[in-house]
Amino acid sequence: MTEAMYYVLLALARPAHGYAMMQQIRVLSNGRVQMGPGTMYGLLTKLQDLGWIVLKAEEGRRKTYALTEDGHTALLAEYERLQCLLRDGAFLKEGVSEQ
Amino acid sequence: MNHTWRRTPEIWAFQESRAHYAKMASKGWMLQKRGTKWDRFIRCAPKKLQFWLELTRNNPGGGFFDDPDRIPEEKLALYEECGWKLVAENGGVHIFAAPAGEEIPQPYDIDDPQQDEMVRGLQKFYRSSLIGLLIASPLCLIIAVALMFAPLHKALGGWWWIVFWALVLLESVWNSCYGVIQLRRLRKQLQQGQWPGAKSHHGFKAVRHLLRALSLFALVLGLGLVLVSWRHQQQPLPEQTTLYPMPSEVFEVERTPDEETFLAGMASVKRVNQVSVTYAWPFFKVYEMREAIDEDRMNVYQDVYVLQFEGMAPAIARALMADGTFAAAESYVPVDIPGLDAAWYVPGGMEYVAYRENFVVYGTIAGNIGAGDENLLAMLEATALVWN
Repeated sequence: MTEAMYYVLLALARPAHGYAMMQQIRVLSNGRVQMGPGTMYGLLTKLQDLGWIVLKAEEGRRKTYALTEDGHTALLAEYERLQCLLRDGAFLKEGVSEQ
Repeated sequence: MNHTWRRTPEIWAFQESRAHYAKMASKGWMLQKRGTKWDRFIRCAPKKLQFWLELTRNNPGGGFFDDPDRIPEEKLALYEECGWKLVAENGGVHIFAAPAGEEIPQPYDIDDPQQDEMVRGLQKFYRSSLIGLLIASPLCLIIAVALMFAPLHKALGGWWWIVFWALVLLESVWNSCYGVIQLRRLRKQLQQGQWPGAKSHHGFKAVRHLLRALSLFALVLGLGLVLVSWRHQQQPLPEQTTLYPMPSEVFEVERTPDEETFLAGMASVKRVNQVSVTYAWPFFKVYEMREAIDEDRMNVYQDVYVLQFEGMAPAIARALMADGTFAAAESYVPVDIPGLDAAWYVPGGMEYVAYRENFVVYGTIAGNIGAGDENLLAMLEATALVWN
């Protein structure tokens, strides 16, 4: 899972439309990740194809998406994987402080 | 003036196009319509804008990208909510504009695989168009071969047609080759995580302008020659000229009244007792005349080539004998006629050829009574008198 995919899934903790997700991602990442509309649209298409998100409502040109169960599972799995990565690398900081 | 037109930038020139449209907007010209060859701009107050080119599939089934031809409404809404407004579109190219200097996100992250996919799709498109051009290029050869089988003056007069198409083809090949190279460069830079800068491509443009200017020159020249020839077509035959002898005078008989020739569909001279002029610049000018005499029992055709270069005469004479309508080249027999540099006729046949300095004649005597060697020789002698 790419960083962008991870943040889109995170932003869908609550159902949202594309633009709201972009703003949410910015808040979640403290402004570090600023996703463009083209990238966002491509990801929404890709995540729908994977069955990780689903169209929940349509309001004019705006479409609201929600996480599916598979999406939720994938997000949790990625979160745990990232935690593992952090844990495995934790000794780096400990080593620095011991020295 | 509320509108102006500029050449449409090449499809591969993303950064250059963005910079070009931004520069035009800063000068007070907003892009209104993106064309295939020309873009239309409308007068506006000078604005500082940034532009983005979004490419979508341009034909169903064979396209480059994920999206259908038009940008989906949802995607468009996303762009608009971010501050990007669709200002023009053509085929699969969509151009968005947004105020410059504001915190507006770029539509794609630089490492977005969609960008790489798009460039790869374009590369494929350019490569396939290049293959198409290479397949189409033998067409030029076919035209050239077809002209080889045409009468000599038409073949040499049609050289500009081959040159024109060859130049048009060359320009397309040049555009496609350059596009393939630039797209490779673009993809490499995207993979390295950097947006390529807007290059000026002076060398590319210079070659393209040169090819376009040359093809335009060939076209104008060719059309000019057609026009000049057309203006001189089908003039009434004069009583006498210094270019060729008048058969009615040579044989001391009456001309028959003007009427359409039985070769009207094929010959340049469509009526009897007419003369037509064809310009085959820079090689020669051809006067074609036909005189019907003795109540249509004898028809004399004379094609007189006035050559631009004297040295061409022997070659043209030989080419005319090889190209002859009724007799093979080996049937021609040389004959010594005072006043002519060289002369040939077909014993028992209908044709004669001769030249002097930069004049060459290809003559045919036909009709109910046939040619007769003495008539052919009489025409050659009369030609020598007129040319001296």
